[in-house]
Amino acid sequence: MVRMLLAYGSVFFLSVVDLAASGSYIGGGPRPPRQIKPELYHLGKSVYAGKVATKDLPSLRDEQNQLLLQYQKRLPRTVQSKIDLSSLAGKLDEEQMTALIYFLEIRYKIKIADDKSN
Amino acid sequence: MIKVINPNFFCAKGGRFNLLRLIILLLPMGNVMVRGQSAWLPEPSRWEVALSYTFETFDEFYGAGQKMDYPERIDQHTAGIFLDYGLRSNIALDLRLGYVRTTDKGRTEDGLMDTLIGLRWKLVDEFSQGREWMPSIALRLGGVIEGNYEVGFPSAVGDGASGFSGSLLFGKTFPKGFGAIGEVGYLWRNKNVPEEYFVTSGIFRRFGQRLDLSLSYRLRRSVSGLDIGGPGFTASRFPELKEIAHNLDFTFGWAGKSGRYYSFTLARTIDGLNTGDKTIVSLAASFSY
Repeated sequence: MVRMLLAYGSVFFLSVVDLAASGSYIGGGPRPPRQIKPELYHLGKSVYAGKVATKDLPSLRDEQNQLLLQYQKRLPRTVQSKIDLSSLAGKLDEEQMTALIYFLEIRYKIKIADDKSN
Repeated sequence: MIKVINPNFFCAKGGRFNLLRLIILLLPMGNVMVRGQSAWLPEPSRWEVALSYTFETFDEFYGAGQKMDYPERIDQHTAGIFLDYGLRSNIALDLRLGYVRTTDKGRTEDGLMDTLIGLRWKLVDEFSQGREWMPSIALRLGGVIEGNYEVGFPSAVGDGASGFSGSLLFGKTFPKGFGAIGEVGYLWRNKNVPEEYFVTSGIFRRFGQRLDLSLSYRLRRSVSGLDIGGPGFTASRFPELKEIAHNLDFTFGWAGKSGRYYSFTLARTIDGLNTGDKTIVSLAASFSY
Protein backbone atom coordinates (compact mmCIF):
# COMPACT_ATOMS: atom_id res chain seq x y z
CA MET A 1 0.00 0.00 0.00
CA VAL A 2 2.77 2.40 0.96
CA ARG A 3 4.68 1.57 -2.17
CA MET A 4 1.64 2.14 -4.34
CA LEU A 5 1.03 5.51 -2.66
CA LEU A 6 4.64 6.39 -3.29
CA ALA A 7 4.22 5.40 -6.93
CA TYR A 8 1.10 7.53 -7.40
CA GLY A 9 2.71 10.37 -5.51
CA SER A 10 5.68 10.13 -7.82
CA VAL A 11 3.37 10.23 -10.80
CA PHE A 12 1.96 13.50 -9.52
CA PHE A 13 5.43 14.97 -9.12
CA LEU A 14 6.52 13.69 -12.50
CA SER A 15 3.65 15.41 -14.15
CA VAL A 16 4.25 18.83 -12.71
CA VAL A 17 8.00 19.26 -12.61
CA ASP A 18 10.53 19.90 -15.32
CA LEU A 19 12.39 16.62 -15.75
CA ALA A 20 14.62 17.32 -18.69
CA ALA A 21 17.72 19.39 -19.10
CA SER A 22 17.91 22.50 -21.17
CA GLY A 23 19.18 23.27 -24.51
CA SER A 24 20.29 21.49 -27.52
CA TYR A 25 23.55 20.89 -29.27
CA ILE A 26 24.09 23.57 -31.85
CA GLY A 27 26.35 22.22 -34.52
CA GLY A 28 29.59 23.37 -36.09
CA GLY A 29 33.14 22.91 -34.94
CA PRO A 30 36.01 25.40 -34.94
CA ARG A 31 37.05 26.82 -38.28
CA PRO A 32 39.65 29.28 -39.48
CA PRO A 33 38.88 32.99 -39.30
CA ARG A 34 36.84 34.09 -42.29
CA GLN A 35 38.22 37.52 -43.08
CA ILE A 36 41.88 36.55 -42.87
CA LYS A 37 43.73 34.06 -45.04
CA PRO A 38 45.85 32.36 -42.39
CA GLU A 39 48.09 30.47 -44.81
CA LEU A 40 48.94 33.60 -46.78
CA TYR A 41 49.46 35.55 -43.56
CA HIS A 42 51.80 32.94 -42.08
CA LEU A 43 53.80 32.63 -45.30
CA GLY A 44 54.16 36.39 -45.38
CA LYS A 45 55.26 36.42 -41.78
CA SER A 46 57.89 33.80 -42.54
CA VAL A 47 59.18 35.85 -45.48
CA TYR A 48 59.26 38.95 -43.29
CA ALA A 49 61.16 37.09 -40.56
CA GLY A 50 63.68 35.70 -43.03
CA LYS A 51 62.62 32.13 -42.47
CA VAL A 52 61.95 31.33 -46.09
CA ALA A 53 64.52 30.36 -48.71
CA THR A 54 64.70 33.19 -51.24
CA LYS A 55 65.31 33.11 -54.99
CA ASP A 56 67.61 34.95 -57.34
CA LEU A 57 65.37 36.94 -59.68
CA PRO A 58 67.27 39.98 -60.92
CA SER A 59 64.63 40.78 -63.54
CA LEU A 60 62.16 41.54 -60.74
CA ARG A 61 64.55 43.54 -58.58
CA ASP A 62 63.61 47.05 -59.67
CA GLU A 63 59.87 46.47 -59.57
CA GLN A 64 59.97 44.79 -56.17
CA ASN A 65 62.35 47.39 -54.77
CA GLN A 66 60.02 50.21 -55.77
CA LEU A 67 57.06 48.56 -54.04
CA LEU A 68 58.94 47.47 -50.95
CA LEU A 69 60.30 50.98 -50.41
CA GLN A 70 56.74 52.27 -50.28
CA TYR A 71 55.85 49.76 -47.58
CA GLN A 72 59.08 50.48 -45.73
CA LYS A 73 58.11 54.15 -45.41
CA ARG A 74 54.72 53.20 -43.96
CA LEU A 75 56.09 50.92 -41.26
CA PRO A 76 55.95 52.18 -37.66
CA ARG A 77 59.08 54.08 -36.72
CA THR A 78 60.04 51.50 -34.13
CA VAL A 79 59.98 48.83 -36.82
CA GLN A 80 61.65 50.76 -39.67
CA SER A 81 65.04 50.57 -38.02
CA LYS A 82 64.74 46.84 -37.47
CA ILE A 83 63.92 45.67 -40.96
CA ASP A 84 65.05 46.59 -44.47
CA LEU A 85 62.35 45.41 -46.85
CA SER A 86 64.23 46.49 -49.96
CA SER A 87 66.91 43.90 -49.16
CA LEU A 88 64.36 41.33 -50.33
CA ALA A 89 63.99 42.92 -53.76
CA GLY A 90 64.79 40.49 -56.54
CA LYS A 91 64.72 37.54 -54.15
CA LEU A 92 61.00 36.72 -53.91
CA ASP A 93 58.84 34.83 -56.32
CA GLU A 94 55.30 36.01 -56.98
CA GLU A 95 53.75 33.90 -54.23
CA GLN A 96 56.25 35.08 -51.64
CA MET A 97 55.87 38.71 -52.68
CA THR A 98 52.08 38.51 -52.53
CA ALA A 99 52.27 36.87 -49.10
CA LEU A 100 54.70 39.47 -47.77
CA ILE A 101 52.48 42.33 -48.91
CA TYR A 102 49.43 40.61 -47.42
CA PHE A 103 51.24 40.21 -44.10
CA LEU A 104 52.35 43.86 -44.04
CA GLU A 105 48.83 45.05 -44.82
CA ILE A 106 47.30 42.98 -42.04
CA ARG A 107 50.01 43.31 -39.42
CA TYR A 108 50.73 47.02 -39.77
CA LYS A 109 47.49 48.10 -41.44
CA ILE A 110 49.30 49.46 -44.48
CA LYS A 111 47.36 49.88 -47.68
CA ILE A 112 49.04 51.11 -50.84
CA ALA A 113 47.04 51.49 -54.06
CA ASP A 114 49.06 49.41 -56.49
CA ASP A 115 48.38 47.30 -59.56
CA LYS A 116 50.20 44.38 -57.95
CA SER A 117 47.66 44.15 -55.16
CA ASN A 118 44.70 43.88 -57.59
CA MET B 1 -2.56 19.93 -16.90
CA ILE B 2 -1.61 16.78 -15.06
CA LYS B 3 -0.36 14.03 -17.32
CA VAL B 4 -0.93 10.58 -15.93
CA ILE B 5 1.74 7.96 -16.27
CA ASN B 6 0.89 4.30 -15.83
CA PRO B 7 1.98 3.57 -12.25
CA ASN B 8 2.61 -0.05 -13.23
CA PHE B 9 5.72 1.27 -14.94
CA PHE B 10 7.28 1.53 -11.53
CA CYS B 11 6.52 -2.05 -10.63
CA ALA B 12 8.93 -4.80 -11.57
CA LYS B 13 8.00 -8.42 -11.94
CA GLY B 14 6.03 -9.71 -8.98
CA GLY B 15 4.62 -6.26 -8.23
CA ARG B 16 7.66 -5.00 -6.35
CA PHE B 17 8.22 -1.27 -6.55
CA ASN B 18 11.07 -0.40 -8.86
CA LEU B 19 12.85 2.64 -7.48
CA LEU B 20 15.37 2.50 -10.26
CA ARG B 21 12.70 3.11 -12.88
CA LEU B 22 11.47 6.08 -10.87
CA ILE B 23 14.95 7.53 -10.78
CA ILE B 24 15.48 6.87 -14.47
CA LEU B 25 12.28 8.63 -15.39
CA LEU B 26 13.36 11.68 -13.43
CA LEU B 27 16.58 11.99 -15.36
CA PRO B 28 17.16 14.93 -17.68
CA MET B 29 18.11 14.46 -21.31
CA GLY B 30 21.48 15.95 -20.69
CA ASN B 31 22.38 19.56 -21.10
CA VAL B 32 24.48 19.90 -24.19
CA MET B 33 23.95 23.54 -24.95
CA VAL B 34 27.01 24.12 -27.01
CA ARG B 35 27.68 27.72 -27.77
CA GLY B 36 30.11 27.45 -30.71
CA GLN B 37 31.38 31.02 -30.53
CA SER B 38 34.51 32.33 -32.12
CA ALA B 39 37.14 34.85 -31.08
CA TRP B 40 37.39 35.79 -34.77
CA LEU B 41 34.62 38.28 -35.38
CA PRO B 42 32.78 38.87 -38.64
CA GLU B 43 33.89 41.83 -40.70
CA PRO B 44 32.27 45.19 -39.91
CA SER B 45 28.79 45.65 -41.36
CA ARG B 46 28.76 42.05 -42.43
CA TRP B 47 26.17 39.42 -41.58
CA GLU B 48 26.88 35.76 -41.15
CA VAL B 49 23.83 33.54 -41.11
CA ALA B 50 23.94 29.84 -40.33
CA LEU B 51 21.18 27.27 -40.51
CA SER B 52 21.52 23.97 -38.72
CA TYR B 53 19.73 20.74 -38.04
CA THR B 54 20.69 18.56 -35.10
CA PHE B 55 19.59 15.09 -34.11
CA GLU B 56 20.31 13.82 -30.59
CA THR B 57 19.46 10.49 -29.07
CA PHE B 58 20.20 8.46 -26.00
CA ASP B 59 19.01 5.36 -24.19
CA GLU B 60 21.56 5.38 -21.36
CA PHE B 61 22.46 7.97 -18.78
CA TYR B 62 25.27 8.75 -16.38
CA GLY B 63 24.19 8.25 -12.81
CA ALA B 64 26.32 8.37 -9.68
CA GLY B 65 29.41 6.37 -10.55
CA GLN B 66 27.96 4.31 -13.36
CA LYS B 67 26.15 4.33 -16.66
CA MET B 68 22.61 3.03 -16.58
CA ASP B 69 20.01 2.07 -19.11
CA TYR B 70 17.09 4.35 -19.82
CA PRO B 71 13.85 2.45 -20.38
CA GLU B 72 12.99 4.20 -23.64
CA ARG B 73 15.03 5.89 -26.32
CA ILE B 74 14.59 9.64 -26.44
CA ASP B 75 15.15 11.47 -29.70
CA GLN B 76 15.47 15.20 -30.10
CA HIS B 77 15.43 17.23 -33.29
CA THR B 78 16.53 20.85 -33.38
CA ALA B 79 16.42 23.33 -36.21
CA GLY B 80 18.51 26.40 -35.45
CA ILE B 81 19.43 29.71 -36.96
CA PHE B 82 22.46 31.76 -35.97
CA LEU B 83 22.99 35.38 -36.78
CA ASP B 84 26.34 37.10 -36.35
CA TYR B 85 26.82 40.75 -37.19
CA GLY B 86 30.03 42.74 -37.23
CA LEU B 87 29.09 46.02 -35.59
CA ARG B 88 32.62 47.34 -35.69
CA SER B 89 36.00 45.80 -36.34
CA ASN B 90 36.23 44.81 -32.68
CA ILE B 91 32.56 44.35 -31.71
CA ALA B 92 30.06 41.80 -32.93
CA LEU B 93 26.53 40.82 -31.99
CA ASP B 94 25.17 37.29 -32.07
CA LEU B 95 21.78 35.66 -31.80
CA ARG B 96 20.81 31.99 -31.62
CA LEU B 97 17.24 30.79 -32.15
CA GLY B 98 15.92 27.29 -32.51
CA TYR B 99 12.90 25.07 -32.67
CA VAL B 100 13.14 21.76 -30.86
CA ARG B 101 11.05 18.64 -30.97
CA THR B 102 11.41 15.54 -28.83
CA THR B 103 9.86 12.12 -29.04
CA ASP B 104 9.62 9.85 -26.05
CA LYS B 105 7.68 6.60 -26.17
CA GLY B 106 5.64 7.83 -29.09
CA ARG B 107 4.80 11.17 -27.51
CA THR B 108 6.00 14.32 -29.19
CA GLU B 109 6.65 17.68 -27.59
CA ASP B 110 8.01 20.81 -29.23
CA GLY B 111 8.66 24.48 -28.77
CA LEU B 112 11.05 27.36 -29.18
CA MET B 113 14.32 26.52 -27.45
CA ASP B 114 16.18 28.92 -25.18
CA THR B 115 17.32 31.97 -27.14
CA LEU B 116 20.92 33.07 -26.80
CA ILE B 117 22.00 36.64 -27.42
CA GLY B 118 25.46 38.03 -27.06
CA LEU B 119 27.98 40.76 -27.60
CA ARG B 120 31.61 39.96 -28.36
CA TRP B 121 34.39 42.47 -27.88
CA LYS B 122 37.72 41.62 -29.46
CA LEU B 123 40.45 42.42 -26.96
CA VAL B 124 43.46 41.10 -28.87
CA ASP B 125 43.93 40.42 -32.55
CA GLU B 126 46.68 37.87 -33.17
CA PHE B 127 47.19 39.25 -36.69
CA SER B 128 47.99 42.82 -35.70
CA GLN B 129 50.29 42.35 -32.75
CA GLY B 130 53.88 41.20 -32.60
CA ARG B 131 53.95 38.43 -30.02
CA GLU B 132 54.34 35.10 -31.73
CA TRP B 133 52.44 33.17 -29.08
CA MET B 134 49.53 35.57 -28.56
CA PRO B 135 46.09 34.32 -29.71
CA SER B 136 43.09 36.39 -30.65
CA ILE B 137 41.06 37.00 -27.52
CA ALA B 138 37.46 38.17 -27.24
CA LEU B 139 35.14 38.77 -24.33
CA ARG B 140 31.54 37.68 -24.71
CA LEU B 141 28.63 38.79 -22.57
CA GLY B 142 25.51 36.82 -23.23
CA GLY B 143 21.92 36.41 -22.21
CA VAL B 144 19.70 33.34 -22.11
CA ILE B 145 15.98 33.79 -22.65
CA GLU B 146 13.95 30.74 -21.73
CA GLY B 147 12.03 29.13 -24.53
CA ASN B 148 8.31 28.52 -24.72
CA TYR B 149 8.55 24.75 -24.38
CA GLU B 150 6.41 23.12 -21.79
CA VAL B 151 7.91 21.72 -18.66
CA GLY B 152 6.49 19.10 -16.38
CA PHE B 153 7.03 15.84 -18.22
CA PRO B 154 9.98 13.51 -18.82
CA SER B 155 11.10 14.69 -22.21
CA ALA B 156 10.82 18.43 -21.67
CA VAL B 157 13.66 20.06 -23.54
CA GLY B 158 14.92 22.51 -21.00
CA ASP B 159 15.07 23.86 -17.49
CA GLY B 160 12.77 26.73 -18.34
CA ALA B 161 15.12 29.32 -16.90
CA SER B 162 16.67 32.57 -18.11
CA GLY B 163 20.02 34.05 -17.21
CA PHE B 164 23.24 35.54 -18.42
CA SER B 165 26.79 34.42 -19.11
CA GLY B 166 30.30 35.75 -19.46
CA SER B 167 33.15 34.09 -21.27
CA LEU B 168 36.59 34.56 -22.78
CA LEU B 169 37.14 33.22 -26.27
CA PHE B 170 40.50 32.31 -27.74
CA GLY B 171 41.60 31.59 -31.26
CA LYS B 172 45.05 30.96 -32.68
CA THR B 173 46.22 30.06 -36.17
CA PHE B 174 49.47 28.31 -36.95
CA PRO B 175 51.36 27.58 -40.17
CA LYS B 176 50.43 24.62 -42.35
CA GLY B 177 46.73 25.29 -41.83
CA PHE B 178 46.56 24.37 -38.16
CA GLY B 179 44.63 26.27 -35.53
CA ALA B 180 43.17 26.07 -32.06
CA ILE B 181 40.22 27.57 -30.23
CA GLY B 182 39.05 27.77 -26.66
CA GLU B 183 36.40 29.24 -24.44
CA VAL B 184 36.04 29.54 -20.68
CA GLY B 185 32.84 30.90 -19.23
CA TYR B 186 30.25 31.01 -16.51
CA LEU B 187 26.47 30.88 -16.63
CA TRP B 188 23.93 32.13 -14.13
CA ARG B 189 20.25 31.29 -14.41
CA ASN B 190 17.15 31.96 -12.35
CA LYS B 191 14.57 29.61 -10.84
CA ASN B 192 17.18 27.90 -8.66
CA VAL B 193 18.91 26.27 -11.62
CA PRO B 194 22.53 25.82 -10.47
CA GLU B 195 25.23 28.08 -11.79
CA GLU B 196 27.68 26.40 -14.07
CA TYR B 197 30.97 26.89 -15.81
CA PHE B 198 31.81 25.72 -19.28
CA VAL B 199 35.03 25.03 -21.12
CA THR B 200 35.66 24.36 -24.77
CA SER B 201 38.92 23.51 -26.48
CA GLY B 202 39.48 22.42 -30.02
CA ILE B 203 41.98 22.02 -32.79
CA PHE B 204 41.47 22.19 -36.52
CA ARG B 205 43.37 21.91 -39.74
CA ARG B 206 42.62 23.39 -43.13
CA PHE B 207 43.55 21.07 -45.99
CA GLY B 208 44.07 22.92 -49.24
CA GLN B 209 41.75 25.86 -49.74
CA ARG B 210 38.47 24.40 -48.53
CA LEU B 211 38.49 21.31 -46.33
CA ASP B 212 38.56 21.64 -42.52
CA LEU B 213 38.74 18.87 -39.98
CA SER B 214 38.37 19.63 -36.29
CA LEU B 215 38.17 17.92 -32.94
CA SER B 216 36.73 19.60 -29.87
CA TYR B 217 36.20 18.84 -26.22
CA ARG B 218 33.37 20.54 -24.34
CA LEU B 219 32.65 20.54 -20.64
CA ARG B 220 29.63 21.88 -18.80
CA ARG B 221 29.65 21.56 -15.05
CA SER B 222 27.21 22.79 -12.44
CA VAL B 223 29.04 24.22 -9.45
CA SER B 224 26.41 23.05 -7.00
CA GLY B 225 23.20 21.16 -6.91
CA LEU B 226 21.62 17.95 -5.87
CA ASP B 227 22.26 14.40 -6.87
CA ILE B 228 19.44 12.12 -7.82
CA GLY B 229 18.54 10.21 -4.70
CA GLY B 230 20.99 12.24 -2.61
CA PRO B 231 20.35 14.42 0.46
CA GLY B 232 17.62 16.98 -0.06
CA PHE B 233 16.56 15.56 -3.41
CA THR B 234 12.86 15.41 -4.23
CA ALA B 235 11.13 15.25 -7.55
CA SER B 236 10.00 18.88 -7.17
CA ARG B 237 13.64 19.98 -7.02
CA PHE B 238 14.70 18.24 -10.17
CA PRO B 239 15.87 21.40 -11.99
CA GLU B 240 18.31 21.90 -9.12
CA LEU B 241 20.36 18.84 -10.03
CA LYS B 242 24.09 19.11 -10.36
CA GLU B 243 24.79 18.24 -13.95
CA ILE B 244 28.15 17.45 -15.53
CA ALA B 245 28.67 16.66 -19.18
CA HIS B 246 31.88 15.91 -21.07
CA ASN B 247 31.49 15.86 -24.84
CA LEU B 248 33.74 15.23 -27.80
CA ASP B 249 32.85 16.32 -31.28
CA PHE B 250 34.39 15.85 -34.68
CA THR B 251 33.53 18.21 -37.50
CA PHE B 252 34.05 18.01 -41.22
CA GLY B 253 33.80 21.46 -42.81
CA TRP B 254 33.85 22.67 -46.38
CA ALA B 255 34.41 26.27 -47.43
CA GLY B 256 32.36 26.93 -50.54
CA LYS B 257 32.37 29.93 -52.80
CA SER B 258 31.21 33.43 -51.88
CA GLY B 259 31.62 32.92 -48.14
CA ARG B 260 29.47 29.82 -47.86
CA TYR B 261 30.43 27.13 -45.40
CA TYR B 262 29.04 23.65 -44.81
CA SER B 263 29.70 21.38 -41.88
CA PHE B 264 28.86 17.95 -40.56
CA THR B 265 29.43 17.20 -36.88
CA LEU B 266 29.37 13.98 -34.93
CA ALA B 267 29.44 14.34 -31.16
CA ARG B 268 29.32 11.98 -28.19
CA THR B 269 28.93 12.37 -24.48
CA ILE B 270 31.94 10.60 -23.02
CA ASP B 271 31.30 11.06 -19.32
CA GLY B 272 29.11 12.93 -16.92
CA LEU B 273 26.75 13.00 -14.03
CA ASN B 274 22.98 13.29 -14.07
CA THR B 275 23.06 13.52 -17.84
CA GLY B 276 22.20 11.39 -20.83
CA ASP B 277 24.80 9.47 -22.82
CA LYS B 278 24.09 11.24 -26.06
CA THR B 279 24.96 10.65 -29.67
CA ILE B 280 24.60 13.82 -31.70
CA VAL B 281 24.64 14.44 -35.43
CA SER B 282 24.48 17.96 -36.79
CA LEU B 283 24.46 19.58 -40.21
CA ALA B 284 24.99 23.28 -40.78
CA ALA B 285 25.27 25.71 -43.67
CA SER B 286 26.38 29.30 -43.27
CA PHE B 287 26.29 32.29 -45.58
CA SER B 288 27.96 35.66 -45.47
CA TYR B 289 26.38 38.94 -46.63
